[in-house]
Amino acid sequence: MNGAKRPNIDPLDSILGTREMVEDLFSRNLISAEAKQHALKSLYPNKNWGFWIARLLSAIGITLILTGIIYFFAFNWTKMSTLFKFSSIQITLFATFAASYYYGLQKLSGKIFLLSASILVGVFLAVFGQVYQTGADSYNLFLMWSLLILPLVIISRFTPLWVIWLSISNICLILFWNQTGSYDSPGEMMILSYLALFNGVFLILREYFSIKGINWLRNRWTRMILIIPILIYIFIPTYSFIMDPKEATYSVIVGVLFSAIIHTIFYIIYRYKLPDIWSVAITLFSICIILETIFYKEIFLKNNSIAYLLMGSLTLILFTLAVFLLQNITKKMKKTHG
Amino acid sequence: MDNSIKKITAKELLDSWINLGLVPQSEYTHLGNTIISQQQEKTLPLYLRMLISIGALISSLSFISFLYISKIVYLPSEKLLCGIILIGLALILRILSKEASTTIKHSIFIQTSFCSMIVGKIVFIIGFATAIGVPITQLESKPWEVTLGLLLITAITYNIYPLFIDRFLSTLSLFLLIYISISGEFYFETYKKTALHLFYFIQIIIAATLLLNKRIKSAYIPLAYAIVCSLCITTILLEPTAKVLNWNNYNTIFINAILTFSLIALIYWAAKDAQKLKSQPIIFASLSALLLGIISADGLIFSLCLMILGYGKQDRPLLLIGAVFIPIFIFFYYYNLDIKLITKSVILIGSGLILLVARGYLNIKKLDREA
Repeated sequence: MNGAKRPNIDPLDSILGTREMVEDLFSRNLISAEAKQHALKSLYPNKNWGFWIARLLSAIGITLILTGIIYFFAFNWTKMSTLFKFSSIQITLFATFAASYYYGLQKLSGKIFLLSASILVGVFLAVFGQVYQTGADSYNLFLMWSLLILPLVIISRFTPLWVIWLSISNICLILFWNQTGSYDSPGEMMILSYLALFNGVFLILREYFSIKGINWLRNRWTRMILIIPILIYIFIPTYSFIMDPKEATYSVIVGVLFSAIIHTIFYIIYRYKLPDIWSVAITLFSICIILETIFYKEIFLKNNSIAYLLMGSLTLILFTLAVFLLQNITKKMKKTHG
Repeated sequence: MDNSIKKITAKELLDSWINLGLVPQSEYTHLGNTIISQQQEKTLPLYLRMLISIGALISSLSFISFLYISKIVYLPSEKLLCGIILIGLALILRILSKEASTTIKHSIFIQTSFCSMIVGKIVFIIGFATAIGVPITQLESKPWEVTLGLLLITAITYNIYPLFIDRFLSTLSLFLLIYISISGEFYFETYKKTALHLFYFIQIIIAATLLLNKRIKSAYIPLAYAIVCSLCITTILLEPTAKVLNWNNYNTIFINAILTFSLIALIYWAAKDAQKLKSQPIIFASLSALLLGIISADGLIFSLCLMILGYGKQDRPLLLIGAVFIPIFIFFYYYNLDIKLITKSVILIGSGLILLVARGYLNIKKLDREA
């Protein structure tokens, strides 16, 4: 030890080594580049290049081929015979199903082929509608697509396929609302509340199955891709209400009520029941944006220098409070949930 | 990526350095104390940094509007002085935030500091450009003067104001302004294409140096990310710029060649790290990269480069940028490139097939197994 006294060992034993820690020591010239490299290699030892690159090549390769096929159809549409259109899609569809069966759904390759097949079902339906000029509204295409691939989505246990399915279903709902003309002007914004509800149901299912131990749903991003669209959907009627409250229709008011309820539920659930600081942060951020819209309407649009100064100051105060609140919540969550 | 992270305590790390002779034993105490104090510093998690950044950006826009409308600072010298004062204030607030005893004080100081820095820099840049003779109404048409102002203030503040988001945004803006300045330049019309290609090449060189050199300090990570983002934008923008500037028969051979060479270089860099990959697979991978370079689009090769680099460095943001860039590039590729859809289709399918053949090769050689 050369007479050097070691510091209290306990704190060092309870601190986990991280990349930031190593980078910081290197930045302060306390360790050499060799020591930094050694530490990073110890922290990230399992670089499984072959396995990782194989997955990357499969994913990007299939994505590019599928995109190329879609470009091909877009270009040659008028020149292709009906027989060619159908046979080429059906052969590819069959090939992707066969490949998925061959690799099996336990492997990523099998799942990617099933995802490709699900997309090709949509291409097939689009071609079918174009060739036979069914005259059906385009929401029908998305509805059929969504229903036909639902069994595949369920058996795949593959999050990207679920994301695609949810996107198709959301588009279907929006198109249905616009094309059936089943809305009148005052009810125009009801679709946003319906969409929030629809995605909310899947968020509840996601949380339920996640608690039940379904591993592939446990990644935080699967929660985020539902929470963020829900907050965006309910922001639109809220914005409309703030900007022009006198013209607010019942669908706008319902949207605003939804907004209040959803923000409250998200805060309570992700603060106390299923603690997740990212979800709380996004909910608080959404509240900040709503309050900012109020400031914008009531202050910024006055269009004078004092209004701008006031708007800037209020924004600073608002976001500082949000940061303060989040810091406190983070501390409390760490104490209670580790 | 998380699966490959090993949990090692700070003590274990220190011991391994001492045992291997990488750190002298006499430094043990100092290093240990530094790590402990490091933990006590208020390092902000990503969601808080994002919230602070958005709040500061919105409020600084309001303050800029206030300064512009109120005409409190009117003369160029006043703007320069005001900019310097605000930047100074930002530095003081940043120091105060480190010493803040309570969370609320820390939040106030850090938020106000960043806001003050943004406003200060913008006012300084406008003051600088107007001081060298550009009327405030013509700033848009004189991007070089604005670029010079930004370069000056970024160079001064980069090392003394260690906020990641400020470093990132300032340097990203700088690189984008250089791109805009070159493509809007009238004096060297003939050399514009060469200048843009040279600019692209320089960015690649700087990015490679910052991301691959083991001796680069962590302070330059924001600069590295800024260049990567600038390269993403430049890769997408080069085609439309060529159209706007009426460059007939513009092709991206030069960019493609740079990126293909980068991809091959990265394969060799990765191979150093992987014991499994011996010479034959590396030659095969290099040939695949070459073939990809010949037939594929530059954005796809760039994306592959980013993901390989991200995985090799276990750098999650780089991996994410690479993955997100693929669909964005494909979207722009559909609309931008002035070639027939059938050619684009062949390029995409061909690129996909090359990747799948390479994947098949890994399978044959049994290199695709999980360890």
